[in-house]
Amino acid sequence: MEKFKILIIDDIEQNIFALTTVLEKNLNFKIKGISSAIEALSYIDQQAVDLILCDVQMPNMDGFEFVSIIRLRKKTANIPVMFVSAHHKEEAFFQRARELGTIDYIVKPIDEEKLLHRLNTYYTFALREHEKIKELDALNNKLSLNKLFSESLEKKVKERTRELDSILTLSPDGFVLENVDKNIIYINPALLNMTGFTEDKFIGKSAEIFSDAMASLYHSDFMNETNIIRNEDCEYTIYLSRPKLRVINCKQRIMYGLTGEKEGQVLYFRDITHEKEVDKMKSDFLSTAAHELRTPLASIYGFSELLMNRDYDKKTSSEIFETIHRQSQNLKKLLDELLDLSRIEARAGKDFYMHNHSLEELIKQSCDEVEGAFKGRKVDIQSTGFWPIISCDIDKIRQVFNNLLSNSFKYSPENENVLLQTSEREQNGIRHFGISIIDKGIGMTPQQLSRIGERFYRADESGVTPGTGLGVSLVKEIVSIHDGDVDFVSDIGAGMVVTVWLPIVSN
Amino acid sequence: MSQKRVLIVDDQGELRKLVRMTLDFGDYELHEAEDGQRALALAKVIQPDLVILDVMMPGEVDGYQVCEQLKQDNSVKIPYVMLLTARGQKSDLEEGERVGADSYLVKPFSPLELIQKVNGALT
Repeated sequence: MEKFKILIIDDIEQNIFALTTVLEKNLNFKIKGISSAIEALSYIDQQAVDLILCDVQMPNMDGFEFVSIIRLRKKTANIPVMFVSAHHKEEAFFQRARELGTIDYIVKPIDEEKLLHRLNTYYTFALREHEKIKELDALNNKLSLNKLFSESLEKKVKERTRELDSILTLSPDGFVLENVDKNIIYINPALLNMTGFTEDKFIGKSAEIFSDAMASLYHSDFMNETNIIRNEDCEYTIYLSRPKLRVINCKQRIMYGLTGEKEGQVLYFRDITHEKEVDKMKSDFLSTAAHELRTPLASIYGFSELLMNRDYDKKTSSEIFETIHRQSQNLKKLLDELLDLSRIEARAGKDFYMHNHSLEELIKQSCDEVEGAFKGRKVDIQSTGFWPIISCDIDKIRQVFNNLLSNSFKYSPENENVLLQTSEREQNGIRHFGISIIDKGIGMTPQQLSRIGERFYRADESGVTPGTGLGVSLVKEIVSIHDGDVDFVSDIGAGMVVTVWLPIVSN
Repeated sequence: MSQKRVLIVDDQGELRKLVRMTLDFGDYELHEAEDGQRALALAKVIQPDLVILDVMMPGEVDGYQVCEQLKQDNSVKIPYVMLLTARGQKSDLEEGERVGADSYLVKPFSPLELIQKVNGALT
């Protein structure tokens, strides 16, 4: 605490001097004397004062008036005041002094010892008060800091909860949280979607109920164990038969608290059905491709070895040479188409050179080329007279029509022509131009039709009709990159109608 | 001594032709079938001594099934069965063993090796 500031108000300068001399004995006191109550009012307005010693009998404004005034002012209302006077010793005087809230009253002549002792006591008391206030202030500061801190913590926790909630809600993978009492406390929407469960069925319920519900969805062909929740970190695959066939990768992690005690468990479910399917498709494709490559290779390898080791007459050997050559061509075509297909798939059309072309010119070129390969047979074009401009990679689209036209010739009787018709449709505000290729060939059963476009699928599996089983796959890939699609309509013995739909750029 | 009978079963005409030309040097009587069902029907009639059997054939009955039936059917003299497969993977060999096949030939195969194997099996 700074020095204890005492203000002495007395109209008689000698009294001020005398009091100051006494009080200065306490070095903690800082004394100020003012000889007019009016002046003192303005002084205490500007300066802090710890105690006032005030004479009662003064001209212009007496002690009572002075104290009344300072009690009215907020800033000065609480300054302790001690009256000093030789007069007014009646009870009425003391009564008035008490009403004004003065703390003490000293009678002249002043007993120095007594005055000093009293003031020292006040000082000690004030000092203690001051310490207490300081302590309280410090405590208050601390409290409000604590409050701020806990508020910011609370805010952070809320933010983090919201973040986690958004992540878990958006996650395509399923999450289930279990508390230390093995009760389910959280299930995210992805898991509900995966299983068809409703959340309220499990929240707050035992994990066993959840485990049993999961088990009711299991595919019995693949799942022996039904209890999925284990008391350790683990990872395994589960197979669901309901609500639909799914393969799910499941991981379990135990959550530990700060002191290493178990707090609960997280169950994580990732639907890997599609990955499994893609993996299987890839390996099926590879092994089928390898098989298809071996077939022509077997002819080439075998016949050439026969030629090297045996003497054949000219006719037979030229037949063998022809076979070898034809199978080499098959092999080449198969490789080309395999490469085309994988390149188109991998690049997703990025190496397609799209330009505007007249479809009429393109179709007529394709017809000429295919007619050249199937001597004596013709494509009859039935056009509405309208041919649009389309945006396409001309080589790829030519490949589409060459492929489809050759197929139509291959699968229809030797003496039959192929018909090509044009049409138009509008779909989702986009105009499409349709080119239908119609043959009178063997047609396809609905079952065969459903497999058309499948890699290596051949309607004629005997190998009599040449082909790789990749042509239609390629056609579909190419057309889809042109934002078009391909329809197949057929029935057994009723021929086949293949329609390629391409978006029209302009007339 | 009567000629031994060999039945060639493959859906690919060109492959049948290759096997026929390879074995067509007078020691064997050669027959062909283009799918599993025809092969089983023909086997009943000709009672072959050896069957060269393609594994991957379209239709109802594949090579493994043909082999299994040939090896079980008491009305048919149980022939020696040589599987012709485009793969030589372990799973294929195991399946062949299961149905009782006697040996394998993996496509593409050497005709000389085929002759050796057939001769070895039939003498």
